[in-house]
Amino acid sequence: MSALLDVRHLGVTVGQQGKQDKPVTIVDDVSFTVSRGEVLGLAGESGSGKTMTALALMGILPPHTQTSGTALFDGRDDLLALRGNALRRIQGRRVAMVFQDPASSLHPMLTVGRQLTEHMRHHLGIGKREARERALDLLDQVRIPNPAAALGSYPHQFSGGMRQRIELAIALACDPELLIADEPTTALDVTIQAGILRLLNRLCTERGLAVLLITHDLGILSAVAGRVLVMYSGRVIESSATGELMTGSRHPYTRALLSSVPHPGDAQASLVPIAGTPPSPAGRPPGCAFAPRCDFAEQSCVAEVPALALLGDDHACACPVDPFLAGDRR
Amino acid sequence: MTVLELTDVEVTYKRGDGTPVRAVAGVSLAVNPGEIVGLVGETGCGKSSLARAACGLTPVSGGTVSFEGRPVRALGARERPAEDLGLQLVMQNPYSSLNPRRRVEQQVADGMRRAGQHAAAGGEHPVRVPQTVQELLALVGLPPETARRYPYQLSGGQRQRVALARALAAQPSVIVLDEPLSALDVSVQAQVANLLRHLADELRVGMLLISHDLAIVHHIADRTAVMYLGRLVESAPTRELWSSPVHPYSSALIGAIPTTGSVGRLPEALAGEVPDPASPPSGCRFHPRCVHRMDQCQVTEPPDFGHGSGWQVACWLADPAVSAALASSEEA
Repeated sequence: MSALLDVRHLGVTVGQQGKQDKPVTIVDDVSFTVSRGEVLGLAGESGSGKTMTALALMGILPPHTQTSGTALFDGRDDLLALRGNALRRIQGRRVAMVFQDPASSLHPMLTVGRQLTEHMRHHLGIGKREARERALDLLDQVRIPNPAAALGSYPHQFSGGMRQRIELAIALACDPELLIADEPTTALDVTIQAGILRLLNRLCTERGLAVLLITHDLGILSAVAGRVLVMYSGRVIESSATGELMTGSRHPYTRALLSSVPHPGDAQASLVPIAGTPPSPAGRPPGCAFAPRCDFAEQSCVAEVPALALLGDDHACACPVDPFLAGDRR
Repeated sequence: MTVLELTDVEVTYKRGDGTPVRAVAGVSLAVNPGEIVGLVGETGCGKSSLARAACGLTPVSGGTVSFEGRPVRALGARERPAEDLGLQLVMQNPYSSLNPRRRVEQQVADGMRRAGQHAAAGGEHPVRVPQTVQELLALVGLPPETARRYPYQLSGGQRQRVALARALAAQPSVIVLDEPLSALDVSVQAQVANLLRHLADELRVGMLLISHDLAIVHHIADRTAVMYLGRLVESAPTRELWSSPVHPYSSALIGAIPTTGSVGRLPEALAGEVPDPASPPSGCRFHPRCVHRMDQCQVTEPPDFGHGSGWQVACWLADPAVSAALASSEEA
C-alpha cells in the first residue's frame, strides 16, 4: 500500500536573500511516510524543528522561510509546491491541523458555530442547516456538554480543555484524511488528555485517519503512536516502531531523553538529566549536533553529520558510534 | 517542627456579578523542614489560589496560614513584614517573573540585602544558604558569568534557576513553587527537579510544590496531596499513594498518565468536567464523576478518614463502617 503522505528530504531555512546573515537551516533533510490509519509520532525538545516541519506541510510557514524537498500527498500533489486554489482545496479539507495553544488559534470574536461551519459550507458545499447538524454531531463527538448552546458561544466562555476539543472538532469537520496535531494536549490536564488520545485512536481505527502527532511527551507517543521519529536540532536522529524505540533505542539522545522522564511505575529509578542545552540552529556544532552533550562522542562524531543508517526492519539511527549495539536493553 | 501550616484555609473570590466563588474550601496542610509536599489536581481545582494564600499574596477568607508559628498576614499596600522573608515563592513563568531591565546579580542581591538587614536588626534568621551571589549561582548550577547577564540572555531553564537563586537569597525556610517546571523542556525539567530535591535534602528547605505534572511530583515529593474542586481528597506519603491510591479521584488521575513503560495502552479517561466551583455538587464534590458513587455520597460530604500513618482520605469508601458493610454484603 502506498503511503498517504510521503515526505522526502524536507528542508526549511530562515533568512532573507540579500541580508547579511546567512540563511539558517532549521529543518534539515527530514524524510518520512504516514499511511492511512496510522499515528506517526514526531518527538523532540523545543527548537528541534518539529513545529516547522508541520507548518511547512500545511504551507503556513512564517515569512522569509524557504522549503526544499517534496511532500507527496496521496501520490499526486506536492504539498510544498502547491499554491493558491490548488493548495486551498487540500488544506483544511483533506489535510487539517490542530495547534498547541487553543487560546490564540481560535478567533476570539466569532462564535464557535461560525468557526465550526464556515469551512464546512465552503469545502463540502452544504447548506446552513446541514452544516449545523454536522457541527452538533462533531461537538458531541468531542464531548462538549450541551452542543446546541456551545454553537452560539464565544471561545472565552470555555475552559482551555474545551477550547482544545472545539479546535479538534473544527479540524475534523471536513472529514480530513490527514491530521497534523502539534502538541494537541500539552496545555491540558491528564484526564482530558486521555479522552482526546482515545478519540484520536478511535478515528484512526474507524475512519482510517492518518495522524502526524507532534509532542515532546514520550508517554503520549507510547500510548497512541505506531512509529516514532525523534528529532534533534532540525534532523531526524532515530526512527523506529514505538515499542522498539521505548525498549531498544540505539541513539544516545533517545536514550537520554527516555531516562530524563519519570516512569510512574518505577519509583526507584532516578531522573538522569541531559547536561547542557540544545544548540541554536545558527550555532549548530559541526558533525552530530548532539555530540557536545553526548557521553559517547568520539572523533568521528564531529567530523561529519552522521547519516541515518538502517539497523533493521523499520529502525534507523544516525549515530556513528552506536554504543548500544550489544542489545543493552533497558 | 512544622514551618508552614495551613489550617482550614478558604479563599473566596467574587465574580463580576457578585457571586462568591470558594476557590479553596477548607484545606489543611503542613510542610516540615527539608520536606517536599506535592499538591496535584486538575486546572481550576484551586491549587494556585492555595499557593498564593500560603505566602500571603491573596487574603484568606477563612482559616489560618502560619509560618514558623506566626500568622502570615496578607500583603496589602504596605511592605511585606521582615519576619515573612523566610517564606518565598517561585512562579510558573520565569519569562515574566524576572525583571527584564535588571541584571541577574542585582535581582539576586535584593533578597540578600533584605535578609542581611533583618539579621542586623536582631531578627533571628538561621543562615543556611551561601551569602554571595557567586556562591548562590553555583548552588543552583549556573556559571559565574550569569551574574552580569540580563534575563533575555538566558534560556528558560537558566531563568528558572535564577528565580530559584533569588528565592534562596533571602535564607528561606519554606519555598512555595507554583508549577516551577511546566515552562521548561523535558531534559531541563529533570535538571531542575533534581536540583529541588537536592536543595531540600542539603539545606533543609521545606517546599510546597504545586504541579499538574503528576509524574514529576511523584518523583521528588515526600508527601502528595490531591486536590479536587477546592478540597483535599487524599493526602499520603508519595510512594504509597502511587502504588495504592484509595480515593477514586486519585486513582483516576494516576491512571490517566500515559507512560513510556506501557506501549500501546491507552490511558483511562475520566468522564465529565470539573463542576463550577461557585455551585459545587451536594455531598461529596466528586460524586457526579465517580464510578463508585453510593447514595450517601450525594447527600453527606465525607470527612477525612485515617488510612494508616500520615494518610488521609476524604471518601466514604475509606470509612471503616462502610467497608465492613460492603464486605458483608458481598459475602451475602
